[in-house]
Amino acid sequence: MALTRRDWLKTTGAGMAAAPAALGAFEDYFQPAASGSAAVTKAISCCGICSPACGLQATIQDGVVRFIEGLPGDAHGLGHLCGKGAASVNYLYDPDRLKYPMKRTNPRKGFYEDPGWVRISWTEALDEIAFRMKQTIDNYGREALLFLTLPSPDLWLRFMNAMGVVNRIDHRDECFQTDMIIQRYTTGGKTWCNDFENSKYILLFGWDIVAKAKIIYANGVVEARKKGAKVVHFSPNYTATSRFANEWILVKPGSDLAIALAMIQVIISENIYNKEFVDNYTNFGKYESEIRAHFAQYTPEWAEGISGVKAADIRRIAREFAASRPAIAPAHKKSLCANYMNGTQLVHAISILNILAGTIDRPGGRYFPRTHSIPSVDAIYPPPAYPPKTGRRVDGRDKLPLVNEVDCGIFSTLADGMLNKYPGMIKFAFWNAYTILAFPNPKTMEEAMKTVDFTVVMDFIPTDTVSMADIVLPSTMYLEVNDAVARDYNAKYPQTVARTAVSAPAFETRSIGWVAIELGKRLCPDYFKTPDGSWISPATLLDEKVRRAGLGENFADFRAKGIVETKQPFTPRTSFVTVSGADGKCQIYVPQFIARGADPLPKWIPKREEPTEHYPYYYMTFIPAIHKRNTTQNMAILNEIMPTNHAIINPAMAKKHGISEGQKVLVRSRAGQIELPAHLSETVPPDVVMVAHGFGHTSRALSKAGGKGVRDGDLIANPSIDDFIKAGNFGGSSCIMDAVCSIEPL
Amino acid sequence: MSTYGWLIDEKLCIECRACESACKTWNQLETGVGVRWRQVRVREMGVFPQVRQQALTGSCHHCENAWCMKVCPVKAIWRRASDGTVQIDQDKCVGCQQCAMFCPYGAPQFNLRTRKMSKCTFCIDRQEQGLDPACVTLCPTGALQYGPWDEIQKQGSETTENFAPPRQTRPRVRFIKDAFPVSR
Amino acid sequence: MSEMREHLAQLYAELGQALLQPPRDQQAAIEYYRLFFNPQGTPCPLWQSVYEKEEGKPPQLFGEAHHRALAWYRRYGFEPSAKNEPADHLGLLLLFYAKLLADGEPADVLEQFENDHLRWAEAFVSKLKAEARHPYFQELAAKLDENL
Repeated sequence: MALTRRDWLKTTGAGMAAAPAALGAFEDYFQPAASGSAAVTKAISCCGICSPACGLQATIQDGVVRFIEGLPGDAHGLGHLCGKGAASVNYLYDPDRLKYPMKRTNPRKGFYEDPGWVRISWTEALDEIAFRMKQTIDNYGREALLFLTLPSPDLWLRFMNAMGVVNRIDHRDECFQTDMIIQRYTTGGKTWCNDFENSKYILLFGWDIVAKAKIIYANGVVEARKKGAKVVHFSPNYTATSRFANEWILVKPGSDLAIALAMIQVIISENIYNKEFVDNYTNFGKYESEIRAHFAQYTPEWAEGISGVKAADIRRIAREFAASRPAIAPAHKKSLCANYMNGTQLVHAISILNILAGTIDRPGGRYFPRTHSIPSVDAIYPPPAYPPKTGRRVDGRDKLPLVNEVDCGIFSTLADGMLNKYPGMIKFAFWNAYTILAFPNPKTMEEAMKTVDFTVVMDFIPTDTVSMADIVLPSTMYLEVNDAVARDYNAKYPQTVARTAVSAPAFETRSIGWVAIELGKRLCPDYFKTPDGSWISPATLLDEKVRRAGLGENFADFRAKGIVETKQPFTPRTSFVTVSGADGKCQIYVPQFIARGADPLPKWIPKREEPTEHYPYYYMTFIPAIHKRNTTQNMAILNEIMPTNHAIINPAMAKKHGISEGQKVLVRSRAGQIELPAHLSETVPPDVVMVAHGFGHTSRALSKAGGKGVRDGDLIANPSIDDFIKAGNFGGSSCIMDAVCSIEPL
Repeated sequence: MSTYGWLIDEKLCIECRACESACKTWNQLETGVGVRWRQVRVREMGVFPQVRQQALTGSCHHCENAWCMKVCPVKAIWRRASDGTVQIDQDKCVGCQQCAMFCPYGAPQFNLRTRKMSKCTFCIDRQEQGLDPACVTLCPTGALQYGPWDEIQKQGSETTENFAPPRQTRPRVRFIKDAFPVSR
Repeated sequence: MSEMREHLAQLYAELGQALLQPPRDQQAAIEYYRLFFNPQGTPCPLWQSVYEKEEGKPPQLFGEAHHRALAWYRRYGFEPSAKNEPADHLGLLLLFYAKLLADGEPADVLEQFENDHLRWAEAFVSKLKAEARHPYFQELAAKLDENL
């Protein structure tokens, strides 16, 4: 049929570029088949969608992943995954994935300009990037380099340290930065393991831990309730966590701090704190008079006026919390640490509640992770001395000494820094996997991007930032790399899981660790050589890490085991090594804060914005369980379940404004406005407009997510460092939902 | 014949949608065509602040008296003798959607592209390998379980809130209704 | 008969190659990447799995069609050299079809391969016809249209 249907006389290829003989071309693209088969195998690895990195098993046929499920025995996922991890193949095989390094040929940059991309080799891409970095340093100094990235992996951090990068900036001011600062000084480390399953009383301020689908935490709460524990959820809106709680207590947005302060007041004034712990392991005795005097003003009656919660209930819950032993008040991640201007004060107050409960590193409380000691690249191959990081911080972080100490942040002040405080200072920007929605106000960050001469974007899907890039680098995703991943959220004894490349890196994707070495070879070779003079290689480095951590002879050996754990009894700490100057005790009163421009005890400060005549409603945002922040919206399965966001309002508010279900509304704040459909729900109070974060990707290259929804962040006014200092937000809580708004039907 | 049933404990559901993702990936279901064999339906009840929610996972219950089978005009829906599960034969289906109209649980799904019905198969291909259905395998909290029907049907309640009365169709599902304990 | 086969084999090989590598002319090369590998959004994806919608399968890379194409190649003792890229790239499929022609495979085998791995390309070609701006690709689209 093929032969008779065609008129081969027409098809002599006139006008086409000359090509080599047919069969010659075949040999260019095909090779003899290996004796491999279509056998089905299973491989162990770790999810990479969120930081717990739950262990997983991938069913693989012929090198292609067909199904993903949990890994029994893994301390994080406990043999399971959430809907995001289970849909990992959507990430791995997304047709929208970035595939090859590319560079623009159209010098005109703009979010709606066609960059005229052409494919280049990795060599050419890296040569160009190295050249640009060197040129920038020579002409403008190291401060002109902006690296938007977390300080990991360690190879990548080494490169940035070797280059003396001053402006390495990350998003943790929107995450747990404030808690990290507070914990350093109050308990001596990140107590972010929550022993919910052994707790009798779980006090939750606003944190929708169940619906955030960190299944380790959700499972802990479920186990606790099965054993009869009481869960109390203070929240302005009703969520899945409220459903799990014994009591859901309505609070005004941003007023949790008042409740926490009042609870401390009750527990101290009635002397119902855990005396054994407080007397032996804290500095309460040393600063008792200051502490009692300070909290005396924060009565439940006072807190009722601010939060709307009845004084009698605050008193009752404080007493229940103190009496139910063990009790826990978790405070991890965005919801408590970064929502409002009073975030830093809140996490300090919460730390004190846990200290008074006597459950720091005790069963049923917040405890320190026990992990295998996996050495970093700097420990294995000690580098030459790093150059000093001289230059100005474009985000103004140098004005917040405590934030400087933990080397996190600051996204919320970055656009202001690039546009107003130090305009034009940044000449070169390297984006590692952040989308434009990662910033509290994406619109201003778009403006800031336009001021940068040369931008490199490394990611594995083409998000909005790609339109402004000069070079695009395709990144591997978590199923395509090898690593050893410690369990550190649920870590009563050390356990480490092998992340194995269940799929070979697709197309020409590479990991950021590899990029670090390649750039290092070009720009700072002395930092990337092993003692015998050869180049550091990711594979040998990993072998060495595994060997020194006692996980196996090398990575292949570790990989065969999959999970390595060192079961040991849980020995609660009796010494809490807080920052030098402290005496091995937990600190309720933190004297070191005074010299660093911070309050030694948490005090009441309001959230930044309260309703006004023009903006009469609280604006709140949330992260739906089905998505991870702003990165998973292009996964087909997750997009189908939740493709877009709405303005979620109470039917009473809707009636007042004549808004019906699904009707487009205009939500305005002093920073901007968004148009989106309304969804009526009884789970929000009549004075709140609630919008899900993560939507409003504009890039049409995201075939599922592009053009859907609006950016919640466009309503958030960028705070400045001076705002933080004036307000007493010494930890730099990013005010990520600290706004008020108006609403009208369209 | 031995057959299976679902055992659902709603209070344990954390709305993580692992059951939905597992079903879609195992069965290679297309997205964007209106086909979701398993769905977690979150419903709110009451008026603020006396509001509450229910999260209920649901797929096909392979009913003892399957209406879908009864109303299919082309006999595309049939019951497997070996395990009593109800299956749709894609080759015979003409997409009239009668089954969807009569199913009280929204199990048969109309594919907007192929114009045919499909639904949960109870993962018979996994069961034949001695594995649990994909959804059950992924559920982190045990909100969704399954087992031999003669054991499941002795447990829990026949029905729950927002669930069509089971007397007509006799769906193979039971709901655990006891609440979390409260210790004092 | 064999001369006609040879001509056809040459034609399909050329078409396949045109899809596998960019033309030398710089403007045409930019258009190649815009059409097929565009980080701003690829209008004409080249892989069968992405189009595989008739069977109700999700569009993705390394889907069912990739496996079936790989099985075809392996039956004849071959594999794509680019191991980390999908086997159902239209360029590879055309090259392979050209080889089947050149090696004298019977008509029923050719027809089987067409049904399995070329029929879908109608969707690709109509996209290419709609999207191609540069004359090189407009011509390519026309040639593909005639011959697929």
